[in-house]
Amino acid sequence: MASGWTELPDDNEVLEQVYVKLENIGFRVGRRLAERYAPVGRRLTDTLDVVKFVCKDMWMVLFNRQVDNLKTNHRGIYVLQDNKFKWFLRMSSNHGGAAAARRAQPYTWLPCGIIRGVLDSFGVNAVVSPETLGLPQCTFQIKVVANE
Amino acid sequence: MKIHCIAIINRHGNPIYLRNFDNYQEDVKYHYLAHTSCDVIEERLTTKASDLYLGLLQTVGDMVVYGYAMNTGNKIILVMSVPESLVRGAEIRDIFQQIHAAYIAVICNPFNEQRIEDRIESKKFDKAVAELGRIHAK
Repeated sequence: MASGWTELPDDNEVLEQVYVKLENIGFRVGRRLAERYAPVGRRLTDTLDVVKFVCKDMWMVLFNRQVDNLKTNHRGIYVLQDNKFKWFLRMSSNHGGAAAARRAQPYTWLPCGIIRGVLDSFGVNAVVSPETLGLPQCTFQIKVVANE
Repeated sequence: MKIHCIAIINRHGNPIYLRNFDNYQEDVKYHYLAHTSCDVIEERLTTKASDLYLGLLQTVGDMVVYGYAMNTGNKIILVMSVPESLVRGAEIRDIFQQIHAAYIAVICNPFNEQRIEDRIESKKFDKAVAELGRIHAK
């Protein structure tokens, strides 16, 4: 096996624990970032405003660029697509693109938590899931959960 | 222009901070004032105002109540005595911005383990608020 390449552990339980931990840290970071960078000159009124804030301002703070593409079905699903996700720019493998994408998956868990934390700060309850088809592209799907 | 009380209410309407600068009134009076202001704030928020500063909310006896709503849903309520001279909005706005800044500093403290919805327990925040009360004691 090539040096420096470690496969992810097969144990799903371990991965699950890592996911929960990273996502929770991200959530806390997101809450704080939202409070810190919330706009003072305008008011975010609806969910789309908040998602746009994530795409523009938050992405600028985190990755120094804006999200490339935002898609929505106007029924609570938003897809954020970043074609040059900063953390993936210098990642590759000699095991093929799919293997590299799978290996890079854990790196998307923290930003997932951050997005969820920011949304939560503005009163939007959501589930965020990542998807990577090929590095350095990355998409985050936001599914808004109806407030009870 | 004396500050009587500074209160913060979270998104769900729970008081997360209240500081009473008045020696003659009990806290409960200001809790009451803060919560009666919530309705007025809700009303103001629906009118698509883009400013965080909401202006004068209500006048009760010899006290005036001002409001400020953060984008994250928390509201700051400021109770002052009726000013003798003309008040400049900028001055009130400035007080709110200082409270907001102090609040952000508390939230962003990574060693602060408390949940964001909970009561603010921070010596630094207490100090910042006390300082404001001291400056505007007359």
